[in-house]
Amino acid sequence: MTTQAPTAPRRRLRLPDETGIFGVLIVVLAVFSVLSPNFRTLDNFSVLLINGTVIAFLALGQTFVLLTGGIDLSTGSNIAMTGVLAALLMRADVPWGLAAVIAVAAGTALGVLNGLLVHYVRIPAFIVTFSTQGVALAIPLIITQASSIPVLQPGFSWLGQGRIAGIPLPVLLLVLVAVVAALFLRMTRPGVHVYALGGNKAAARLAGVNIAGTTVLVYAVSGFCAGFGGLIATSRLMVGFPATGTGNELFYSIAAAVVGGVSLFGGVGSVLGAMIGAVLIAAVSNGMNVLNVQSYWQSLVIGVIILAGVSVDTFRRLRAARARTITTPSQPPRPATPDSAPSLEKSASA
Amino acid sequence: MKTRSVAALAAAGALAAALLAGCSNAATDNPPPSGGTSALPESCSDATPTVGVALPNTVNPYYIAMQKSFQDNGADLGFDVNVAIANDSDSTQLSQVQAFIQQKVCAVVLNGVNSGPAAASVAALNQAGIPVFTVNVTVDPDSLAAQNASIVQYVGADQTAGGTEMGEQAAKDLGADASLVVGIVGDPDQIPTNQRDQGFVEALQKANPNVTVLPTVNSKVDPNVALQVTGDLLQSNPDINVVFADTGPGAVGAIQAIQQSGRGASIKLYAFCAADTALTDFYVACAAQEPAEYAKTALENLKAYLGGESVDETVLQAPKVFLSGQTPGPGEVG
Repeated sequence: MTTQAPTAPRRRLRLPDETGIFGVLIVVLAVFSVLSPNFRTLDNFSVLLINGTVIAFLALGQTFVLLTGGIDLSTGSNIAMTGVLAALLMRADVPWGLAAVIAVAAGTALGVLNGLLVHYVRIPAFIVTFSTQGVALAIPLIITQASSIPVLQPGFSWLGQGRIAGIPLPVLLLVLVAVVAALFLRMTRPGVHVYALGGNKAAARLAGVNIAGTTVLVYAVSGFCAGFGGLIATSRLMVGFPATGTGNELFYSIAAAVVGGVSLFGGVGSVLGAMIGAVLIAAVSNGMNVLNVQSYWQSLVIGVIILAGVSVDTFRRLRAARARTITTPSQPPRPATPDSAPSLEKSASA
Repeated sequence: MKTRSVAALAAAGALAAALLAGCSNAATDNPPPSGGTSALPESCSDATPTVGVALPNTVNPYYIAMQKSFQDNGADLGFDVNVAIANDSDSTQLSQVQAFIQQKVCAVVLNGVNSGPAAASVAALNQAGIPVFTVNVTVDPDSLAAQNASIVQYVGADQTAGGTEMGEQAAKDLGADASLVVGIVGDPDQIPTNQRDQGFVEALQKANPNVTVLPTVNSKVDPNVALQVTGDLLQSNPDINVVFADTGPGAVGAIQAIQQSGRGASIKLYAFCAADTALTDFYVACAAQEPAEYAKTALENLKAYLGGESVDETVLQAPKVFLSGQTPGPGEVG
């Protein structure tokens, strides 16, 4: 093994994992801004961000699940379920604040159910969440007979349409939840356990990680985030619509997380990356509408940008990983940040 | 080992022979009886003849209204109505139609999941000598011709007329020489919605030479998507002053987007009606389809046909128009 360069300066130059995807985002924003003066306005940026919040919330929850190597397919229909539930509660004269709390609790409960089934019944996550997706999709249809439920309490519109200091409230809520989530994953013991579980389940169990608790936790977080998504979608429409969130939302949220560097196989990725991925997808959707791109072309362009984003990122990571293995012997042990710890663990177990 | 493979070979041969013997192509072997004056199935002379109704889904309130109307009006007209829901799958619908054939129903009213694939259902029913009425979704004429199949009657909304009504209303509201910038919140992947857009734009352009039409944004018939794309549309076109939403769910999203942009004073929305939503000062007019009416008309005409009368091949009903201050009733949706 040869160590060519001195390791110290190389380590100082090492960029965060999210740099690649952030670069793609900047390029996309720059291209749209050059092409359309209507894109590069503050107003449009706020429209873009609000439109991206629901997908970003789903991507945030999905990140937790993906980090453990699982997947949650029920989040899209969870949006429909919680949104209709909130609208129904408000129609039954429950104050909107309480209705919102109950709806998010119901979303979280669906997540807990997913987690329990995945861990205790040992059904693959794909099957569990695919099944609960059907259940969550059917409940609002059965209750409402597919008709939409108008929200009659004007106060509820604040959640999705309100602004604080000119910043849309859904965006503030998203930032708040995302920062808490990121700190949780980076700074706390249960957070590091999430990475450990996805990095190597057997090793994590031997190291004393509470597998059951961690599994239930990540699906609960995903359900919680989907519940928030449902509230925001319903508050923006002021109608509980039983098919809301059952279109591209699930697919785009998984794509956002993966484009942002979260591995589908667990153990690798960050909240920041997933959020950049969500903004990227929101920017592309918004930009194409602002540029009046014909709708037939839009899914093609989104597909190509997702592929390009993931390719750039994968290539960059591969190169970085190769550089790291070459220099590893002379490096002092790095502090166990969530980004590096699981990958070390993985290579150690391999 | 050897005996086993010989046995397997023999079994495969027997199977192939059986398959070949049973092989036939329903579409080419017997020319089907033509739709018009053929003999009716025996079951039509029952006291309460059974009518099979094939609908795409019961997720859309539109089809729920239609289903209820089929059941209610069927009972009134002395039919035993049997409804099958295809959950938006063409193949499920075909198998449900085949089940109707096994049940020896007297007639089938078909609302195809998709226009092209529905022709296969019509062809199967023709083969069995069962008359087919179609509602709401036309069956692609080329596919019908290719499979040598035919229907008795189509009943549905005149989509182009609905768009035209809205376009004429817009021209009347906004004046014949105002400079209009028009955005369409549509579903460019579907033929009926494109017909609505075409009717709207042509009527408006006929009345007013100063119309600019922007490229259509895709609401995917989902209010949440409609809210987002309408927001983008308004953002990118500061001088837009007319929006046409060509479906009910699209209208729900467009209403919220215009309201939330605070530009309700400068933008007028014309639409296919959002369910149970009152028209306002900016959501000024909408056109509603009446699915319950189409179901009723189809059954009435079926009754007449069974009684030996000849019926028109196509019945198109112009959508009902609602204006500011009015609210479409239950079952009157875009």
